[in-house]
Amino acid sequence: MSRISTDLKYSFIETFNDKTNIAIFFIFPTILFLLLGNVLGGLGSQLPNNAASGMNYFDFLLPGILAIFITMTGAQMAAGTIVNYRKSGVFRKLATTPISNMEWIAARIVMWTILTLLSLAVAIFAAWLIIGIHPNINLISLLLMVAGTALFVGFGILVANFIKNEGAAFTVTMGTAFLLTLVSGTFIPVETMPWFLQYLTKISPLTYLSEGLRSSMITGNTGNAVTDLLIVAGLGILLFGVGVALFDWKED
Amino acid sequence: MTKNVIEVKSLVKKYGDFTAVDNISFSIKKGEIFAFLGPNGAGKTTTVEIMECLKSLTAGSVNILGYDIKKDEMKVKQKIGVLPQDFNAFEWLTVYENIDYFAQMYPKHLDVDSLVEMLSLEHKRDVLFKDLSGGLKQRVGIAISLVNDPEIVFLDEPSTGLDPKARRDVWDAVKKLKKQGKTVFLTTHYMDEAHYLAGRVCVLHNGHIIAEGTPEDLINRYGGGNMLIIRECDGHTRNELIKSIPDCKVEGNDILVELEEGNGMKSMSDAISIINANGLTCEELYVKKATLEDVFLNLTGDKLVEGGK
Repeated sequence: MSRISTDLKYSFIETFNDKTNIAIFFIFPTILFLLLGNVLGGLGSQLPNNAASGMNYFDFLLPGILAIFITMTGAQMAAGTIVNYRKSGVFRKLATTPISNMEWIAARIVMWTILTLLSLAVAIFAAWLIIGIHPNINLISLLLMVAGTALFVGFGILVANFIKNEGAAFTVTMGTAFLLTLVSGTFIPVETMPWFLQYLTKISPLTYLSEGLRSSMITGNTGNAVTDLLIVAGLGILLFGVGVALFDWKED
Repeated sequence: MTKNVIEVKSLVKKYGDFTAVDNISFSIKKGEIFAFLGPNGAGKTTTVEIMECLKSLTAGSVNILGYDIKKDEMKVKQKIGVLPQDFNAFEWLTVYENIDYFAQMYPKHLDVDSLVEMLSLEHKRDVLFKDLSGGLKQRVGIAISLVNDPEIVFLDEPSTGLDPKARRDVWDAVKKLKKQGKTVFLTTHYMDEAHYLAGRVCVLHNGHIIAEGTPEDLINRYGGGNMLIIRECDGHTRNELIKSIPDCKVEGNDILVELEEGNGMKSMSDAISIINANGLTCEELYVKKATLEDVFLNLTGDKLVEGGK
């Protein structure tokens, strides 16, 4: 078994040995989706005209909710795990073995992406089964979710390079995700924002993830969705590349 | 002649203007248990972490099993086993899973269950690492350090913070390594640990090697000799002993008589004769042997205590 597949296998086992993770990754998102679906699903009259027929208000908000979930989960998992392993000395031990930090990061990016998608899949499936939401997941939206997870995992790695304790890492990743949510047009229309916040919207990666998901899942505008996918993937490569380039588990 | 498996020459490590390791050289032969002894901040962990490829060196050279650590880091990593200071593994993996994880990092590795058995961890095989006591965690760490069947095992402060029983368990595990013919590099600030385990000790102070040799050799050279302690003497006894033995020292109610090397029995019998002849009283008499603690104290004027000076 290769070092990458070993880390991948045991990172899943480690995650599921801790039963609270099952609540965090599966039960909590499912309950959230069911609650929001129930509450917002009935608000059909607030649907924009261009939304696909048969959709309710929750279906319309779903791309934004998925984008926010990906932002928070990806960044927090990466930053939290790295800060924890560095603090506890796990990295010091790993650095004495033949596994390189690149191999470890490669394994973890796969694991964090699978876990995020699995978590979303369970929540969406439960909401579809119980309250009949219309997720409209397709190949572009799936690729956007993968690219988005990689992007925000990269952000989490970047944060963990500068922040050395878990509490601070949580505050920074969650705080940033919250700010991005406000300035990405997910819940508040961009046109109603002050001009300087509208500029922030243009540089927020969450804007493109959210818009891309909306284009692919709601409006069916494949051209826009592909453009957003390329932007998210490009930003992902940039952020992930910088995060990984700065990542070192040696303590020289 | 046994070959050297570790050769360190003129090693220097600097952090900015601060020199943590200052031009030290030493070599270690195959099968030795070699201890680096010194207080916190002496440069022990910095030196060992350079040898473990965890830190870069500023100057000098380190050769492990014929490989230069700067050029052949990967080859060195495959040949050594490491128990780092404040060792921790994956909290939410079991003992078996943790050992297997690290075993899979190497192209060739030992059978995990045989390591579990060697370190007497069978009853904890399926227990999560986070639920183990400090001593058991260290034993898991030693098991992990052996997964690649290394020729050299580095143990950095393996018993720090452990209770006496757990320390003994760790010592037993280290003795087993010696029996298997492994070379063990140990860092410690416990002089009893160095004395009990090591065949050769190197005393480090402020980044310099200040003495090197077998524990007995160091004690004979720098320990200051053995001391006869006459405990809890009353005032009259103290005065009589001070008059009769002019070279003695007084510490509280105790009288301390340095025993001359090769003539210690005579000094002891003289002291006992004085006590008997004058009807003097004391609580007890005993001979305190010099230790590595005394070696360190005599060489540096500092004490080798946990937490530094």
